[in-house]
Amino acid sequence: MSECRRYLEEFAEREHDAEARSHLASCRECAAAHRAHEAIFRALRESDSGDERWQESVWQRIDQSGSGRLGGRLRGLALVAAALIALVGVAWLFTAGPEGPPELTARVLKGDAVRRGESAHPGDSLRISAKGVGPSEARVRLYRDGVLYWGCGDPEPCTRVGDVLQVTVPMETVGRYEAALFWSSDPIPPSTGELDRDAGLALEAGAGFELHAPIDVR
Amino acid sequence: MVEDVELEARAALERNDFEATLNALMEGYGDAVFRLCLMLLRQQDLAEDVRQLTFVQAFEALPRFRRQSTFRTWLLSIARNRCLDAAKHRKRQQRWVVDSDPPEPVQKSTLPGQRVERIGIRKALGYCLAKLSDADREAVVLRVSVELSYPEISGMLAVDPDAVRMRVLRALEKLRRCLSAKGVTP
Repeated sequence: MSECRRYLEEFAEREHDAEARSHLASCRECAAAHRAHEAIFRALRESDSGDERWQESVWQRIDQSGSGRLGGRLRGLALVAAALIALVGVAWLFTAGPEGPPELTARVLKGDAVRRGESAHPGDSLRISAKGVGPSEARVRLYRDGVLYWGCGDPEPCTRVGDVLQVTVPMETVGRYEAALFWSSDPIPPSTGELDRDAGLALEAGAGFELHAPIDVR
Repeated sequence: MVEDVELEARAALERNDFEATLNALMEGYGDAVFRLCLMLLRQQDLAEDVRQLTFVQAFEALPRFRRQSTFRTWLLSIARNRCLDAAKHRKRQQRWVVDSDPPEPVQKSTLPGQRVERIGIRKALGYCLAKLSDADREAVVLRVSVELSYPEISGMLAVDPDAVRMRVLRALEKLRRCLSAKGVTP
């Protein structure tokens, strides 16, 4: 085998195939070694192509981040949503008293330590707090890449102390995580499983809605 | 093929058409990125996740792409880093269950179409890849699975090209022995 090393190297480099193959035609030992490695090469290059719609998923992720093809359109929608949120917020101020809308915070935890910045790694947790929810019905939901990842009550309830709602959720996989708070004096529409639709439904129902800045888990 | 993808992506980037650039890169290099992730992680769903994340990250970074390397090596570098992150996390979580059980020796009976045999080789290959050191596995996958050149791998890993060549050959020999031991005699 060792005498054939050069030919294996050359085959691995694929830059001198003609010369190597010429030798292999006349050297039984090298030919056997070559065949063995050729089969390994074939196996190493063979794989499934994965999810057939993976490219669509990439664009969805990009669009959800607001920096993609639909960035301009989403920014427009975001302005409309912001205006609606502001209106709902003002309405809430008149109906709920002078405390102002709840404050939503999300902190990345690595063990017990708070991690600075907005990037995180799989296995880190997210501590989500909503202060000032008052007597309203309130729901904290966490979305991963725009899809519901965790919600209060399924399966664990959020811990509510006074008007503070708090929950710690482990982020198991990579993706873009967005914490959202919904609050209303009326029942909050159940989640459809998608951030955009949940936000739309909540706004239509007159519920308050606040979305925390996304946290990328990489 | 590679040259065509590079030219198409470069032309689109020069027009600041990031969408067309990414489409060209996904079309041209999506399979290679997935193959790299699959061979390094040996977990289909995780490999798919990392492939998608690689292209999302690439899209965000396209305006800053400095053209100091080919798109291909740039993308595969991103993918490799994301794979390392994912592998580290999985190790921390002790979820390294894929390939933890040695596969049964491949039966020599050749059924029609060799499909059973090929599946057996792939399963055994997954096991044998897991037995390699991280450095050897990475080198052989970059060289053989995604067909980067030794200089490209050297630049990516910041390792001397001769050392890369040694790793690849060592890994190939270990794979051959491991597969033989598992009853796969290529």
